[in-house]
Amino acid sequence: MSTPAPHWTTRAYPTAYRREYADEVSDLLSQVTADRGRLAGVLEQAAVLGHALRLRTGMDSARPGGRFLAGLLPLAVPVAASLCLTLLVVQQLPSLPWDGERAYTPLAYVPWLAVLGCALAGRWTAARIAAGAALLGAAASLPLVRWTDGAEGLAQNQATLAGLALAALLVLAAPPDLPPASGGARRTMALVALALGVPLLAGSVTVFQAVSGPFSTADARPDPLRLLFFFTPLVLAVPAALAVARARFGPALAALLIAGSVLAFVPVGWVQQMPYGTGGLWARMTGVTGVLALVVYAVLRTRERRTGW
Amino acid sequence: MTEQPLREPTLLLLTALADAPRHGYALIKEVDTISRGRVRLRAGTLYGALDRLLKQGLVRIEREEIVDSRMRRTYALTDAGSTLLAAEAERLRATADEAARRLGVGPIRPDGATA
Repeated sequence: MSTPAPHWTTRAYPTAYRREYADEVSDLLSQVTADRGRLAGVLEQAAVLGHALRLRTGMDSARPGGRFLAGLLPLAVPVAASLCLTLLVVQQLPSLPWDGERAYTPLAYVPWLAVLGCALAGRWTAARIAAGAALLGAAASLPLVRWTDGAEGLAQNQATLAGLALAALLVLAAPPDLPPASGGARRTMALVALALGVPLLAGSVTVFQAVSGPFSTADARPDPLRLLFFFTPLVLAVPAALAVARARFGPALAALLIAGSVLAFVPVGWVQQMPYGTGGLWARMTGVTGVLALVVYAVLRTRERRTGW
Repeated sequence: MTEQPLREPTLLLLTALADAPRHGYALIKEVDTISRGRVRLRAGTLYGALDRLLKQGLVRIEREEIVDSRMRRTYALTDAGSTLLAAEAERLRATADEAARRLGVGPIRPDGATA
């Protein structure tokens, strides 16, 4: 009897894995299609391709890259969602003289509220589907904003859209068998969303008097993106330090953060000199995160020795 | 460092292997049954998790056989996997019992009803 050919999707696997598992995975795909129908079969094939891609990029859950990616999710999701909520609110406000013309891309923002909502509810599969919508929304917004607001609208939004697309890719690329659905991960997401979202939103709707010329001022609101770059390192320092302290190579990672922070200052003093730049703050907070992680690590180790676990 | 609670897919997979060794598709069906249809593992998730659990020594390959001209592996818990699952079950039971005690509803039976 001849051996049936492995399913075409298994060709995406790295050679060694394909040699070991192509038959088994093909067998499973046939059984799912036979039992649950064609649509279920197609979804399984997509899952196999995703797994193959993770194996090829070293982002599967068996390797440190995949576990690191999974560890980033409770921080990345609330940051993206807080920014999107703020931009959606600011978009509704009447423009002030000093604001200039700003273009927004709500199609890229709305799905992130669903990503955060589903993630907080522990529905990680739904959160991944919403992240897929966020990725499509960001991609579709590029030509859309170019069409509605011209080259300037595109220039204003392309970095934000790229960032949001990257965050959506992060959610989709992270190993699905390590979902941030535990109580601790959901608590972290809720706290980061609150700690970042509230000042970001409050700051972005606050009207201040900008110096518009000699002896004259004009109503203005802070740019939400500048506020994001200011608040994010402050808010993430503590949860990032806790995550680093609990990681397998926590002390080494903390040392790396401290070294990176120092190196950022030594050769490139510009990070402090950029007008309104937050590079210096990011570099400083990276170092602070490393130091905090070492302190937390020491506290955890001491407690373990005392309690015996 | 302090042990973290198991992620749900890992807990469900180890539970699905607790009473008998199973192959890939049987594991997907068993996880579906254990979670009462709430968690449906996809092939990519299953093999990603199995790969990790094999490397961590929590799961082993029980046997390899040819079924319909294709290789099929059957997976089983290792001693370390059984120990870890038992510890997690104990942790969950202690939490559930404490919740039931504080609510004043008595111990929770395996079918979800209170005694």
